[in-house]
Amino acid sequence: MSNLAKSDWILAERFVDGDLPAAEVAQVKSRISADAEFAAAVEETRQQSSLFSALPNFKPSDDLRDRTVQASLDQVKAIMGAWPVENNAATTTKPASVDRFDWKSTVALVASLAGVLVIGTMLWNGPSDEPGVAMDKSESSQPFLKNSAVASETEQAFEVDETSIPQMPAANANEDISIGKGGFDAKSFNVNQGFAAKKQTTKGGPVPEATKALPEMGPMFGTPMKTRKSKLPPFVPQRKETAEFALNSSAPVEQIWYVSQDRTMSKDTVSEILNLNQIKVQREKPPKSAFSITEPVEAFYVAATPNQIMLAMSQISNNADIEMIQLPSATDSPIADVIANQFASSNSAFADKNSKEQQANKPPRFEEPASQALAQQLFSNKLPRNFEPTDAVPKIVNVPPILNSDSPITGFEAKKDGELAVQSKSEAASNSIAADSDAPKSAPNFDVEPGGFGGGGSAGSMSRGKAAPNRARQSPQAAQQSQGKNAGQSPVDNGQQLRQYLILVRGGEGED
Amino acid sequence: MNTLLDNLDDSKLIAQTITGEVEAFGALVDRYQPRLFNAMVHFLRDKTEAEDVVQDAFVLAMTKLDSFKGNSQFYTWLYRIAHNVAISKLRKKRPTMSLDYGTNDDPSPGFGIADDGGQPGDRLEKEEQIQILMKAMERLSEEHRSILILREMEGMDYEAIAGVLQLPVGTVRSRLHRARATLREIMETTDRLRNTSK
Repeated sequence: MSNLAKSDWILAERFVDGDLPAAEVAQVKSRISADAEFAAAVEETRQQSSLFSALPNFKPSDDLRDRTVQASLDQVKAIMGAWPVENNAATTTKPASVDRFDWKSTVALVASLAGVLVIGTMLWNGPSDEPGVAMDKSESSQPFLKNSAVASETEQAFEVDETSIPQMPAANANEDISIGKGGFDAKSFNVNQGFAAKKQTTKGGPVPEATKALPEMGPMFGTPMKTRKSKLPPFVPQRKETAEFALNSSAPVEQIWYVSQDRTMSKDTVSEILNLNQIKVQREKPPKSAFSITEPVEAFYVAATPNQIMLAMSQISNNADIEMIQLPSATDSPIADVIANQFASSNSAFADKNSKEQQANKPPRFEEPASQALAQQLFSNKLPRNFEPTDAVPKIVNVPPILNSDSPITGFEAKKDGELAVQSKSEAASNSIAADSDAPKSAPNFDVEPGGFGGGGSAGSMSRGKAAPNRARQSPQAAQQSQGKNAGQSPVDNGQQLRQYLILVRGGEGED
Repeated sequence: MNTLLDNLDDSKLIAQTITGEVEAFGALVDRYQPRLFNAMVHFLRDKTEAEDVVQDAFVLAMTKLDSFKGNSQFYTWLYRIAHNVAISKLRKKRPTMSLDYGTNDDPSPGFGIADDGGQPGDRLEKEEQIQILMKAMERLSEEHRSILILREMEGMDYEAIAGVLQLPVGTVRSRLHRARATLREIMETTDRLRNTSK
């Protein structure tokens, strides 16, 4: 090794790289002729550089060019609001996690979901004999949990007494529903937008019509559209709407996602992506050690337009370190469907059986009471607004007066009794159509996802073909939602109105 | 291939792409994708990953094309995007993979030492040196490997490297020096071990 100083070496390298100004080049040249050591350094640098020119030249596969152009166009379409876009999965490398069933994480997820349910019901149901949701120690019918470590956690499931959930009268379809004497605000939960963030499979262009079949969706757990770009700057929608939307405890939640993060990540990751999409976020952290949940779930209430939220959620789902489930609204047993699908994909015996049953036009036998109950809780918007432990009966939460007629959400109008009719335009339209429908007409058609965003991404495939057996279990609320859902999108609902969404975030150890 | 588009310079292709000319963007992809892919393979040491990164980089570039002000060359800007994507990928994916550079039965496409007409013995020695270089590159840190690829393979000047890596030019100089010194050291050690084992 040469005894040259670092600065001399850098000088020699700059000379070889042509980084020196002309005046210094002459000086260096004279030094080369006078200083053998320096000349050796220059020569060594040259030789090293020349080696690089002989390195192999790798060429991309022939179709990469077309795939790249197509993917770029798809992304532009997505940003411009044409959603969903063409199938990226076909044009890109398949994520490793798509076909992999992560048994442990699934079981843990089920346990966590059950935990959320426990919290929700304990807080809002309290010790009272509140009708509608009754705590019951039931026999677990989920075969895959029976011998698992978490079975004990989920055995204490909740069963929803559907008959005691008040049926929404058609005349009051646009009013709130209150369940129980606690005065809990359970809005009609119109989740008719759906969401197709997990996979984009339908042709680009306008949103699919109600008559279009749902896109083919993969399993819900760990199925990012692409395993890529976790820390990339997200695509900010072209629209410039920045209207403040007051997040509040009783605005209807349009859609709920369950996000499970890699433990190495921070919960702020989700928050940052939302913020970068100009989405207002209100986080409600669970109190530490309030409940025996190892990884408390934090609630992110966000105010966004459907276009904004679907873009943000797709970015979140694209993150390989995040697993995301959209809790769909189409069936009364969405989680069961998800788990069944997951289970079927990994357990060939189950899959065979399931397949035979499907061939025989029989309903899949898979049932998951706890998940159903959770779904009911979610549909009735009965998740706790905060997680503060309390023995008291939940406070009566009136619709806040800030939701006045000036609200970005249309349809907030003061009522005579001081409350407000909380209703978005889409809800109004769907509800009014539902109210006009007779019972058979309003029966939900799960095979068809109306416009919007494709009906919950991977949730879509979960409900397809399995809807019929679930209908009997469907709650009046779910039916109501489905009526609204199937009524199609309101012509005035252009996806530009702010809504409230809920993202339940688990995991993440970084600083919040 | 569209000869007309191929003859246009980057700025015109960018302008056309922004106005919605998909083929103009295709021409940009044609122009820079192979080069970017090669650099990313050497950086990531994995061809599949490199394809993903290149695709993502172009997707991002297209969606952000209107923010490209032309202060640097388009390729520099594109490379910077790709570099960021690649870094993000590498940080998620540990331990890093080792690329088969074609030393075994399954040669990587494109691999081969150009026949410079020299003696067979010289050629063999050069091949050995390149193998040593590749192995040494694998052992370099990401930042050292990155800066060497930018300088030695991409031929970027210090200013451009500073732009891609978002570093002051002075830092580029010193980092490049450290990278070269480390590479030299690894190669010498490898060579010494090789000779000892012979």
